[in-house]
Amino acid sequence: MRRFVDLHVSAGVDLALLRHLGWRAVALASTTSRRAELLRPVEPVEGLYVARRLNLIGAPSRRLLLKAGRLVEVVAVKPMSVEQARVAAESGVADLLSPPVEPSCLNEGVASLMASTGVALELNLSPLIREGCPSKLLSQYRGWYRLAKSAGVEVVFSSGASTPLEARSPRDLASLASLITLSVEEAREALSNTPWRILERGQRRLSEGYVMPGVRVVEG
Amino acid sequence: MKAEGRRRYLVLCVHPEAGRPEPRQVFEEVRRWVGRLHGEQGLSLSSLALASEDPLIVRCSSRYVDMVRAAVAALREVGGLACMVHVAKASGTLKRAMRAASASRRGAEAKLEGVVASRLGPGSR
Repeated sequence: MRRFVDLHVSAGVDLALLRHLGWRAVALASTTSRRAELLRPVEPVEGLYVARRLNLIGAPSRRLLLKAGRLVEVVAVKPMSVEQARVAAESGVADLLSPPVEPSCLNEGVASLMASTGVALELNLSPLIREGCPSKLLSQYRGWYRLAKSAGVEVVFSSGASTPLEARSPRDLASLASLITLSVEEAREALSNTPWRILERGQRRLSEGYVMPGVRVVEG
Repeated sequence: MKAEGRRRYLVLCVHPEAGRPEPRQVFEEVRRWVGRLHGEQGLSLSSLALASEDPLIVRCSSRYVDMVRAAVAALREVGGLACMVHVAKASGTLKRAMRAASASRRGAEAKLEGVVASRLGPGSR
């Protein structure tokens, strides 16, 4: 059975509703890097794993990215230009690159850097739903998806829900994402196994004795 | 029944911001969205029909379930009322869909009641 993961949900969405919709794990987004706010405990919901996510806008320094990586499971960068996207992709510390609809800042160079450092591309479906799935936006998303896939970059879809009314069931969201991927199976993969792997990587990073990918202290 | 003639029954769960939209209105909105995303051809291929109003169940061709699910995900309001609709269960027969709808409704109510009760603290009910 698939375990669906939504890597971008705002704190305003009821976790019980997300579990009712069929999600098994979600990442609660925050834009502050203050430790106290980031690590504020959330009320647990049975059957739902709640991770923390930090959204960084622009070109964050490597030091900030490293610090964020030691606090939360998912670090996402939203670049505002191609240069900023290149810096975030090159750092290899961010988990996700979440390009905004405007200005477009994803090209072959950025995609190739992302593939070499293991940064995944996040396609947020909330603008698509909010604007009523216009053909222009669909073709832009499809272009990004194809570019990422051809460069070997992992792609994840997320709901980007900021209110309970923006939350969607994972299988419905996968069907909507299939308008971009043109394959329901690929869309389901980008909402289940791929984000789950990113979440596991984040959990490993937060675990005791972690040094860097592939290296951890087993005896002190 | 031939494979291409197989039907699927989708139990729809509506979460409105306020009030309660009419089931027929919800169905018409889903139909409009299937037409908008997949065109008239998609609408005719999906064979979308209203199977039951309470619980709200729609019937479609099993091959085109994803078309209907995509339309459900794209839907944002019904009759000017902001709401969220999702497919609670997909089933091959109307009888099983009906059974799943009542079980799902009971389960969801119990879960949400539990959350509210735990937030208010013991002895709140």
